[in-house]
Amino acid sequence: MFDRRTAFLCLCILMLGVQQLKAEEKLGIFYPSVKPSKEVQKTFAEDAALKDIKVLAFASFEDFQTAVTSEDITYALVPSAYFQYFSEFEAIYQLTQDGQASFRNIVVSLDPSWNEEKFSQGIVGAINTVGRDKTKTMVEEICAGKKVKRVKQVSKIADLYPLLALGNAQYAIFSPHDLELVKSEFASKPIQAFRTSEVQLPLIGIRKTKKGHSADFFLKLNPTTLRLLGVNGVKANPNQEK
Amino acid sequence: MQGFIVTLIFLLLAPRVSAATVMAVSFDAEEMRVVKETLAKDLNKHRMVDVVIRKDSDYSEFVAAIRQNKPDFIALLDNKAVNFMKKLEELKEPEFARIQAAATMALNLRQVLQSSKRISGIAYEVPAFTTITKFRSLISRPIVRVLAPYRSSEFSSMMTEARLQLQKEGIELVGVDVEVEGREVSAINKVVEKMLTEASDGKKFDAILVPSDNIILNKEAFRTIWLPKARSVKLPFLCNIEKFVSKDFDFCTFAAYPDLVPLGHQLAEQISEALDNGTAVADLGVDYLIGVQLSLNLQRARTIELPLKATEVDSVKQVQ
Repeated sequence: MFDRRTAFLCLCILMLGVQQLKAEEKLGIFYPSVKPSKEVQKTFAEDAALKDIKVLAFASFEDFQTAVTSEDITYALVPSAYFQYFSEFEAIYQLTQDGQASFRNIVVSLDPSWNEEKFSQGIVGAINTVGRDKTKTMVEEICAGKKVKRVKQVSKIADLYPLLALGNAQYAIFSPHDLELVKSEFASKPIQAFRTSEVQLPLIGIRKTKKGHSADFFLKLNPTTLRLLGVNGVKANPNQEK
Repeated sequence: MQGFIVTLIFLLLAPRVSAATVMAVSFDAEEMRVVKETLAKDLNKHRMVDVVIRKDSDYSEFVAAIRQNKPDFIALLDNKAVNFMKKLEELKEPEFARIQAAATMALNLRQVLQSSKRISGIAYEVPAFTTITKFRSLISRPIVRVLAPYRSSEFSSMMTEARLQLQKEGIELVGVDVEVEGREVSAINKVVEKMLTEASDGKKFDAILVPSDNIILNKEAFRTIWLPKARSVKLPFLCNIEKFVSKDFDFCTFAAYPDLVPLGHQLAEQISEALDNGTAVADLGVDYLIGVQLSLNLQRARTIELPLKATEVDSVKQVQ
């Protein structure tokens, strides 16, 4: 039907089309860390496993949510709590640290008198990862149901420690990874008040409307890339809906 | 039937209980628009009303706007708006007794609102703690002593707080009261010149914190003292105004200045705390500003041979 030259051209066009189709898939990353979103975006975009995916990293929950509604984000790398409050994505991969899928956050203060017993009387600094109107509920949940008087939210980890140091809040919640980085940056050392309940490490979700797309390339993510977010492995989400 | 009546009553009452009217009073300025837009997004369950004032607006216009819009809460952006609300509080007019407010983008709010029971706020000044620790994270040599000129008549308590906050970081903030020889501009300029000359050897201090105070940075002092010293002294000048690190000014090495979106979030959080959770404004107080943007003049940094951390410098805005 076609001569060899036409067939080759058709094949090239088809391959270009497939490439184009793949290039349209987008990964949205919203996972507050001490690393700037610019650096996260660059590092993930350079990972060979994501060569056909456009990577977008967001500095704040609001920016991420705006992109979720206005852009065709196919995959989302977000804190696990996100999946409890929003249903656009289905969690398909679990990020891990040394094989572990969960961790406990650390609630710290700068004054030993603000201890675990007084937690409900103090103001708690937290990162906004699920929306300003839901953060207080989320904090109470991860603090094993302890009531919280008031939560002050920031978008960046870098702003969490100043909340404490300037006295805007008496407590702040850090992941162990972020706390280590903060400790290396400041001379005054935060005091652990208590540890929260187990929290799952971040998850990678696929937009439910795109369910069925193969996304196993996430399993090939370089541990060096992942280390930027304080993790070093990826596995299939054991709790994924069938 | 009973259930229907209860639902009906709930539906009739619900909007009144949950939705309040928040009136924002501000100038027509781009920076203020950013803060108001953030407020509108965060407080979207409430009704937002925008009142724009001018330089010549007076108290009667403020009162007329309140009568017209009947706000439950007022967001005050700028000193002029704060002064209107302070007057309203002082006059104790029963008609406006329940109105509360939260302020920002005004000077020295922690002092100005110290005795207020009806106005909370977010200080607009970038804390010395933030400026100095953010700068410290960019360089690979320690910051131990920082020179900080200030006016004791206005900023004494701010200086005391800053000194304590930085002490915990092992940083000594050496405050110099520039009003020590009087409050006249000439007396202030004399002290500033002496102070900067003494700091010139570059051994006593690791940085100089430039105050965002137009009396200390008056036109004459800026041109004849601050600029020449910043260009000749081998010390980083740290400030809180972005344009001071620009190539044209060639003045400061580093600037930490308010990030307006987080500022809007901070203010919205206070307003929401008062409206939605019923917290008394008097208990909210005036919080420190948290979110900042950072800018570094690389040329100036090279001139004074600052040992920059390449990985950290990438995360700040760079002026070549």
